[in-house]
Amino acid sequence: MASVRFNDVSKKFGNFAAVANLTLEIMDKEFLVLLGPSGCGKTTTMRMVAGLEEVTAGDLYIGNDRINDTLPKYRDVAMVFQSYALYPHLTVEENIGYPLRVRKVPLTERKRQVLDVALRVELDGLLGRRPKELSGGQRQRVALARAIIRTPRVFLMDEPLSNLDAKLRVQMRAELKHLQHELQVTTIYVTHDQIEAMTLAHRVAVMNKGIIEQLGKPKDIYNNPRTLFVAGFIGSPPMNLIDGEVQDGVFAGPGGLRVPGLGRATVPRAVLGVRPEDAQVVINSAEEANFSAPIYSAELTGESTLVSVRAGDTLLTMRADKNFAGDFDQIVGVRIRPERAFLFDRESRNRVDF
Amino acid sequence: MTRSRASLISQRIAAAVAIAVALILTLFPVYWIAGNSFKFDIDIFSVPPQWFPANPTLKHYNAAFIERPFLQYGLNSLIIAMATTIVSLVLGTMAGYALARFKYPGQWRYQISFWILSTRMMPPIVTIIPLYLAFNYLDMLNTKWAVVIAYTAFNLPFATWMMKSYFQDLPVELEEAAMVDGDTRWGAFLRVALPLARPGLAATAIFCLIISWNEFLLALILTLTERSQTLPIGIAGRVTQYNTYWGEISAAGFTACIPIMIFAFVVQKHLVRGLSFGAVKG
Amino acid sequence: MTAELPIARTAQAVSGPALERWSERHLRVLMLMPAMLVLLALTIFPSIYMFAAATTRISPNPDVPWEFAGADNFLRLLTDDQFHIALWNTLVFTFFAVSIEFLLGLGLALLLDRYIRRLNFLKTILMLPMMMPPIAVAITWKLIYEPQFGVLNEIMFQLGLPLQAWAGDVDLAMFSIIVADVWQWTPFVFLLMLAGLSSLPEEPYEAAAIDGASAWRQFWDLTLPFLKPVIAIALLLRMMDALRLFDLVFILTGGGPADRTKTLSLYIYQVAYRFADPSYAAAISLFVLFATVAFSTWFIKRMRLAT
Repeated sequence: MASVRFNDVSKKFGNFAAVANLTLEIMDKEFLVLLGPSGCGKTTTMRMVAGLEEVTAGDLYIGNDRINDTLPKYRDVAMVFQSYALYPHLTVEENIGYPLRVRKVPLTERKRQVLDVALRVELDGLLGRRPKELSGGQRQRVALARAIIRTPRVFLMDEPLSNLDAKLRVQMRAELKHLQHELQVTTIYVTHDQIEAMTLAHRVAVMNKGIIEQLGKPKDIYNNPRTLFVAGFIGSPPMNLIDGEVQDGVFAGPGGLRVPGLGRATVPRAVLGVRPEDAQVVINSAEEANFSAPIYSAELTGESTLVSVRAGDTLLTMRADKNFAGDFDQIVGVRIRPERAFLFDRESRNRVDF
Repeated sequence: MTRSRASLISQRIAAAVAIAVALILTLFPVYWIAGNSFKFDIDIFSVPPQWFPANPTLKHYNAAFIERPFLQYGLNSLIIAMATTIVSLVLGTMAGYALARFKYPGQWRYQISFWILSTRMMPPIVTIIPLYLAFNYLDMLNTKWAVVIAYTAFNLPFATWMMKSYFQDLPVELEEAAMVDGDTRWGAFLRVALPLARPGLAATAIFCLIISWNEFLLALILTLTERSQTLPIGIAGRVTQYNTYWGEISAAGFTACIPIMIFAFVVQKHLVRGLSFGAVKG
Repeated sequence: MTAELPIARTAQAVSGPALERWSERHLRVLMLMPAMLVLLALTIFPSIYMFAAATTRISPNPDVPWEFAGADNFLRLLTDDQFHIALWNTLVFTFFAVSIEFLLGLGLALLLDRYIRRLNFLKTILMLPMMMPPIAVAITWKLIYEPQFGVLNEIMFQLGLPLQAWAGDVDLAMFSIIVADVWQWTPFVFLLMLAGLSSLPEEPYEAAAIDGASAWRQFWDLTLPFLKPVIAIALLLRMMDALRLFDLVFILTGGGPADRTKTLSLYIYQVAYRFADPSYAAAISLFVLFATVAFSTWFIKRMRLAT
């Protein structure tokens, strides 16, 4: 059983709390993504599981073993570093075989296993090369191979795709997902890229400033953000967040924006959240619109057109059809359906249900 | 464009001239002492001076190596230099790694680093008295070991300092990866950090060897006979009260320089690399 | 940057054999200790001796016990003319020698870096002087400077210039020593500068060229600031060594003529061995040590170098 359990775990550097009172249980065979901006504590959390950071307070378990004081060597975890951390003075074969070498596996057996794994990640022709002779994608696969050669209890991945170019990244995403499914190993994956999180994870833990803002399946995180931070972080382009006030179910925002139908909520300092795909561009003045404004910019992304208008100081972005044709300063209407909108309290940063 | 081409050419010429001048000025004294070592004493002082030995002789080399124990001096220098380099390198590399990687309470790290640097600030003259007294008490005067120990006092801080700055440049992730792969920290040091530190080790070793080979004052005080005396002493020893045996001194001096010159050419690549790490990164 | 590697604290069945745990936990001490102990052992006795000696009066007669003298030896520094002369000589020497070495070293490095990048052979030749035994260097230059038979005067003669006594001349002795030191140590500065120059980034220069900056401007505004750390280290190391100059002076001039080249180290040597006054010698040494430490600390802080 290779679950990973954090029980009120904290990590402090001097007086600075990188991770605060984290309680989290990662199921056996689960692919959990720690998502968040730089400095949110996600990498520190993962490094604690690896044994590269000491746990300041709380208990950390792998399976039934409390591993706070166990050397990394004995934790049976494997890690893929962001920079791959390949041993530059060793060949690809020696790199992959290193975990076996330190466990004193005899040479012939080592070579056999290395070849096995290399075939799997399609590195079999490159075994004699040194890391500096490899491309980024190849190096990444070496790092991967080194991690899977041992069939560890837990996989740790620290932004493994961030150093690859866009096309390769998409390709490797699919490969990683497939690999994890094949190997059925508990995986903790750290990234700041929410697309990676959404596409790869069984569950996502969105972290900010050392705490978990929300934990859930990607679909839930997307459709049901519980805090302002999560709402603004997930989604590309990001959710529109407009300051205003809500009186008795009616949201009043800048530039005359009004959105009624929000139940009976009254929130004096509120934030209205609506995703670009849930805000519609209205040209025909016959249709209902909550708001009208001149076009600030219209960007064709290929599959759609992102139309932005100004509402007071904020920019409101809507996803329109790819054939949409509009000029700068052309007046358009914005329709926001209340059932697709989210309401947040500006003070507490939390979601307000209505 | 003619103007810039002409100026580029004249710049190139000026540079070549300057470099040629630098080369001549650098090499002349070396050439001079080499030349003198092959001249009879009278020829050394001939007016006008002989730019090239007219009657070359091996008399001085004969005197140095056959009549005097220069070979022994050379051997002593070699043994002492190698011994102190090995000790300083082993201890210094471990200490440098520790200082680069581990956390030490409070201000300790800076204190230690500065202490290490400060051993270079002491005028050596007076430290000689207590060293002499100490070795005298231990009955270790006139042994090679005394000199090795004394040299280690300045080679060790140097080695520690160089290796520390070298290890600081090595990304720590490689050792972390080794630990997660199943190595202990010590194992990661041996199998990952150390092999990658080879250039730094080479450069440090070279400098320690050269410094030890050239040292004069400490060796002078701590040694008495050819059992432990080194080449620099052999050279100075030819300046006696009665006479200055210029010919022999030149032979001795040049002999002391030859191994270094050969050594320098053999390891030139490492020298430049090593200095750039040790100094540029502080 | 240090990374804090973890420390295993308590025993666990899954944690491994006891010796391994213990050594891993204590590795940060185990690796540092041997070097520290050796250094401590080697420096502690001399240090204690020096402090003890500096604060007592040691008579040349070994049977007479040491007398406690407090700060007397240090106070003597204030009134000792010879000490003042030695101090002045040392500072003059340091200033001129280090400045010239710096300018020449930097100049040569700039030249070589621009026009002849790859010739290691050339670099190695230019490095020779600093690798020769200082004693050999001193003796070589003594020969060259020899007024009656030396090469230098011969060259002067050929050029129709008046012959000089060089190392024996009251006005030229210091100059002679400076020249010899510059010959030996400019390569050191040269090497450091070369290393610094080879690691300069290219893009700022490209931007400056596009902006219209001349070669001189580029040097002043880009190269010098980039080189600041290397320059600082070169200057610091050379200054520390120049302040302790001994070998050259000892052989070339013996401190003369008329004390014109008596440096601090030479004076300490005289006090300790010729005047047989090791306590005063210790006091002077301690003064030099503290002055050097204070100066270096100030210098390092000023140049904002990390140690």
